[in-house]
Amino acid sequence: MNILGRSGVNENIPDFNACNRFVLQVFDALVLAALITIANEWSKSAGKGRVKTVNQLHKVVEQNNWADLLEEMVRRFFPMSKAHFLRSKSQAAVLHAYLAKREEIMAKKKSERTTQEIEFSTAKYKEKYLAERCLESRDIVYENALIMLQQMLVYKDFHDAMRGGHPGRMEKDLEIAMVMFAGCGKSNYVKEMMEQQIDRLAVWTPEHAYLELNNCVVNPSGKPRKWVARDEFNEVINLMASDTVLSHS
Amino acid sequence: MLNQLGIICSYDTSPRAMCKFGLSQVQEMQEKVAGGESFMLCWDNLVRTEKKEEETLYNRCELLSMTSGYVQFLHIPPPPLSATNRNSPNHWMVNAYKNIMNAMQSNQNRGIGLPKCLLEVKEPQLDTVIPFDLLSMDSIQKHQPLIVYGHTARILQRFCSRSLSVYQAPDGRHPVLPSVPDGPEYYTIPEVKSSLYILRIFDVDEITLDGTSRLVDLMMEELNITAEDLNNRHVDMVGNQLSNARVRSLQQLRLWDYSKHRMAFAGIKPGNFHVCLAFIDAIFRCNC
Repeated sequence: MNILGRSGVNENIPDFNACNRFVLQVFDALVLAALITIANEWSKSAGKGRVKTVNQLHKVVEQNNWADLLEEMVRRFFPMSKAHFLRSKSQAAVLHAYLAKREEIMAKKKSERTTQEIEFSTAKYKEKYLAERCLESRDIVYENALIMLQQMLVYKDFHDAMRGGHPGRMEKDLEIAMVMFAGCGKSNYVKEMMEQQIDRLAVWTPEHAYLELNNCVVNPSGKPRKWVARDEFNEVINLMASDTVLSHS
Repeated sequence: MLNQLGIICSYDTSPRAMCKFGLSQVQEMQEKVAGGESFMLCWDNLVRTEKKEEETLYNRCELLSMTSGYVQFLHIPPPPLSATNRNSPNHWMVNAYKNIMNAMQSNQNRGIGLPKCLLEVKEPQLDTVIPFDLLSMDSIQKHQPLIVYGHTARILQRFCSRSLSVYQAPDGRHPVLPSVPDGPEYYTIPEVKSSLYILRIFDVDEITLDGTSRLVDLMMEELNITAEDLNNRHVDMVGNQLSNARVRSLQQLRLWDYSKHRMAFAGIKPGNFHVCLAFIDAIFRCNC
């Protein structure tokens, strides 16, 4: 099945390069969509036409301070805890409404309460009510887009740092990645990341840290921005061995 | 390929030349290891089908499980000039580099790789590590906003590059495009070709503990060293998450073995490519 004209993304054994390009392309598209959303609002408030395409975005960028456009986009779409904040806020609002209604029911005499009102005040109904109302009041698509932007940003930076040979950035990204893996249920990788973090904090000497900084990626060609992960180079060996050595044996 | 270049040679010549080149590389690698250059081992399983069928769960009996690997001699460049400044966040690198060089040159520490005492704390204070150390505030409060501005600015530049230079502030200046962080706290490796030596394909399946143990023995044979040579020494080992878990198990569980087989010399490091794969999988799991 092709997704955005790419094969190998939705396969049983996904193709890394296809998935990588797909994720980076989707990130670019999401950022552009966010920029266009804000540009559209600016355009509307200035009494101009709607901004829907990249060509129309060009005009907004030419006429306005695009540094403010970036700032506004980052402020609105990239705060790390925004999705969690929105979720908690809607949960609190629904809970508040439930408690107010329940108080109203409890103020009545037992004999005056209807069957629905008695059911409403049970713990079982409370859970169901909160879950349903929360879903209604939340903008799930927006929340998911926020989470997706966060995850893709860290991935993009990690990948970019790896190719450019910037282990300092990779270290910082791995710290955030560890928490993301925990949230996605990838417990084996969380354990692996934690092992390395604890080694780095408590077991390694500065000499070890210096060696690791300089050798966490390899550059088989010696060219700039051609750094690859150590195990990625091993996959290249596997590819070469599969194509040449083993096919002749 | 030689034919396409207009070079004619007998069929045996090129394999013979390749074989000779391979043997000279092996010899060079063994000399480097014996000379005390510190190195890292990386391996991964290589699964092939006997026939040209797609690998599935149902034709596993026809799979050939082998292991490929390579040796990387560690690149130890001098620290950047900015690190000599006492106020630099990278000042620690100056002493670290000096100590590594001293250890490599001193006769007392001669041996395979680097001494364990130089690279690992003798009695690590593991209880001093608190959960908040694992995700530092620095990463969330400083690094994350910087990468947000850097990468979004790159996207804006890619799609609206001509329009960016048009806008001028009232004072006549153009806004400055934020860049992806590359300050002194973000160390960058100097460009250099890595010293890599590909090992032969081992006919060993590394997916069991015994297989991994046998693989390490075979790698040592290839490097012309013995397990005794690695007593109190340190060798980095890089693999995917499962390979690393097996090496950890070998270190912890095989207490009945001789100490030389417990792989105390192994410094386990995760492979970043597999972390990338896990990252993509995590993104797909959350959003698809």
